Amino acid sequence: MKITELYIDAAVLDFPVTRHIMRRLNLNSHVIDAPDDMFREIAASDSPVDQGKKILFLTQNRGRFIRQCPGTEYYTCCNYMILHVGTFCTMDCAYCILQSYFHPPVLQFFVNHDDMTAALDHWFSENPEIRIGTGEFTDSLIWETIYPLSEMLISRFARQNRSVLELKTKTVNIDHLLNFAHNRKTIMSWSLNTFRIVKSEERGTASIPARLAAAAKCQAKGYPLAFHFDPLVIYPGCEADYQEVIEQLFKTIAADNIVWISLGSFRFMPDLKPIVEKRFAQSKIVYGEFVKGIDGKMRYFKPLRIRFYQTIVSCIRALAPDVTLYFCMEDDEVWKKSLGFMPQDRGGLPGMLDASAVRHCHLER
Amino acid sequence: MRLSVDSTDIRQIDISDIDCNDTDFRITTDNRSRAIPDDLFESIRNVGLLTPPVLFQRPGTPEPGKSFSIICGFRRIAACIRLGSPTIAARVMPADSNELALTLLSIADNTSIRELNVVEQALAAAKLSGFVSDPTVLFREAATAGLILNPGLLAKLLKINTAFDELKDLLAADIIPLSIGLELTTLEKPDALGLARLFEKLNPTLNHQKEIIRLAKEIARLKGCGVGDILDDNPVRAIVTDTDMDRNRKIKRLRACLRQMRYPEIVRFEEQFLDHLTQLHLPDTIRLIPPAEFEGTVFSIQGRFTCREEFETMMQALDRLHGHPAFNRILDKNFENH
Repeated sequence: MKITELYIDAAVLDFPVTRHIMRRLNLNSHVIDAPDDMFREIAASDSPVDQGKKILFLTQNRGRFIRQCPGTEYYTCCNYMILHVGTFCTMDCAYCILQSYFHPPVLQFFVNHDDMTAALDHWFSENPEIRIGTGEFTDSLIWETIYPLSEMLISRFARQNRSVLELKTKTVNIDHLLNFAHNRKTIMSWSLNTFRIVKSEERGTASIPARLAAAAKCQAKGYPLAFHFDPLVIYPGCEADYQEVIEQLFKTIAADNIVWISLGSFRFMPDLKPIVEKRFAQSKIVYGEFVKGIDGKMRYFKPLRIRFYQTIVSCIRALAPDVTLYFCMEDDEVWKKSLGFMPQDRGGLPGMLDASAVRHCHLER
Repeated sequence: MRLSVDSTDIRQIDISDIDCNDTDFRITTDNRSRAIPDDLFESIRNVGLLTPPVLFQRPGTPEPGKSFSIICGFRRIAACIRLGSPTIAARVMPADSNELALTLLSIADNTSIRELNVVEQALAAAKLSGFVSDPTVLFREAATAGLILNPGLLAKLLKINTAFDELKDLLAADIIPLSIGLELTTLEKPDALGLARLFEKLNPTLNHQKEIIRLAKEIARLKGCGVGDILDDNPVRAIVTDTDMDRNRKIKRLRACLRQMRYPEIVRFEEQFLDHLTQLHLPDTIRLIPPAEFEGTVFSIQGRFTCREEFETMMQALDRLHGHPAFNRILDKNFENH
C-alpha cells in the first residue's frame, strides 16, 4: 500500500531524519501540534486500517525505545525485547493483529534517533538481554525505502558482542545491507507461510521464493538467519503445503546457519474477526476450529493444533534435526506433546534461544 | 419545524378527490396490506368519524381530480371508502405548508396514540433524513414528533428501511428482533428470507437466532455457497420438517447439527470424550470435568455424598479410575483414529 499523506509532529520538523524522509517522499506534508484530530479522522473513516496504511506520521517515541514483548502469563513467552522504532505496516496481511492492536492503526516512524541511540548505549552498557528485534509492532525492513534505519542499527550492533539484533520481515529489502560489516550481530529473519496463504492472505509481501532467495544472499554474506512459521494456518491440505515450504527452505538455506525457527499457530483477539471479514471478504482464515484460549485470544482447538504441530515438527526435524525450534506462546502440554520436551527441561525458552544466539552469533557470555 | 392543525378548518371533501395511492406521508405498516382494523371500521360505522383525517392539497394539482394527499388518517379514509361515504370531513393543510412539517405531523399523529414498531420508526427516520442532513437538527425535529433517535439507532433504522418487504413484515410483527433484522440485511435476499422463515417457524431465543445465523454464515463461507444452501442441506431440512419433533427439540438438534458442520473436529473430539466417559461407568454422584474447551490442563472431579457409606462408594468408584484405559485416554487428550 502506498503512503499518500505525510503528517509531521511540529516538534520533530527540524530533525535530520524528518528532513531526510520529507525529501525522499516528496509529499505534501501536514505539520501538526497534536495528532488527536488526525487519529480521530482515521478512526472515523470507513476503513481505519486502510486509511492508517496510507498516512505516515513522523513523530517522537515519547516512551521507552526498548521494551519487553507483551506476552501473556499462561503461555510460554521467549522474553524477547523490542526495539520500538515505529508502528504498523505498509504490507497488508489478513491475519495481522496490528489491525486491531492500535487505536487507530497508523503508520508511525519515530525520528528521535538520538534518544534511540542513547537507549541502545545504555542497554549495551548494562547487562543486556541477548535478543532484541524491531519486527514486533512493524515489519523491520519496510522503512528501508524511506530511511536507512537498518544500516545504523546493524553497524551499532556490530560494535558490541553482548547482544544480537533480529530484523524480521516479509520484504526482500536487503540488497543495500549485504556489504555491511555486521559482525554476525544481526540476524536476518523471515516469516514463512505456504504459497497458498501468501497468495490469499498477504497483500504486498514478497513471494516465498523471493524471501528464500533474499535469505540465501544474506547467508552468502555471513549473516546468521532465522525463520518464523507464524501464523501457521490449518486448512485442508495444509500439511503437504507446509512440507513443500520447509523443503524449499532447507534446499536454499544451510540448517546450521539458522539461529532459530519459531512455530506459532494463528491466534487472534476476537475483535480482529470482523475486521478480517470486512477487509478480506474472500478470506476463510477466521473460520478455523477456534476456541477461546486462556489469554482471551482465539486459538485452534488444542488437540487439533498439537496434531498439526507434530506434523510440522517432524517435517523440520527430518531435514534439520539440530536446528533450534520453538513455539511462540504455547504451554507445556503443547511443547511436550509436539517437541517431546518442555522448555524448563532445557533451561527455559529464553535460555534456549540465548544459547543458540551465543553459538551462532559469537556473543560473549 | 412546527405545524399545527388547530388553525385549519374542517372541510367536507369528496372522497373521489383524495389520492389514496399517494403514500408519501404514510407511516403505519398496516397500510402496506391495506388492512383496516375491525374495531376502527365498526366505530366509524356506528358513531361516524370522530377525528377528521388531515389532508394536503399539493400546489399546482388540477381540480377536480385526485388532488388531495393524505397526511394522517389512511385507515380512517379506507374505512369510509369501504362504508361507501361519498364525502369525508377532513382538515386541509395550507398549500404553502412545508413538507418536513407535514412529515412531522404524520409521524406525530401516529406516535401520539401508540408506539411505532421498528419498521415504522425506520420509515419515519428515513423520511426525515430526506429533509434534514444535520443529525443534531434531525434528532431535535424527530423528538418534536415523538420519535426519539440517536446516532446509533438512526444508522440501524436506515439500514432496516432498505430491507425487503417480507423481512420488514416479520420485523413489524416482532417475530424478528431488530438486531437479527440487521444481521439479515447483510445477506442475500433468499438467504435472509430462509433464515427469517426458519425463525418464524421455530421462534428460537435471540441468542439462539444469533448463533444459528453465525454458524450458517460461516459454514456457507467455508463451503463457498449461500446460507440458503446450508438450510436446504439434507440434515438441516430433515430436522426442520420433522413433524414428530417438537419446537424446542428441533432448535436443539438444529444448533447441534450446525455446530457439527462448522466444527467437525471439535465435535468429534467431544464425542470421543463422552464415549470414554461412558466407559468409566461413573455413578451419578461423580462428575469428571475436563479443562474448559480442552485448552488448559486441569481436570477436576466433583463428588456428592450424604453419609460415610456414600463417601466410601464414591471413593471406590474413583479408585477404579486408576489405570482404566478410557480414563488414560481422557487425560491424554489426543485425537484417536476411528
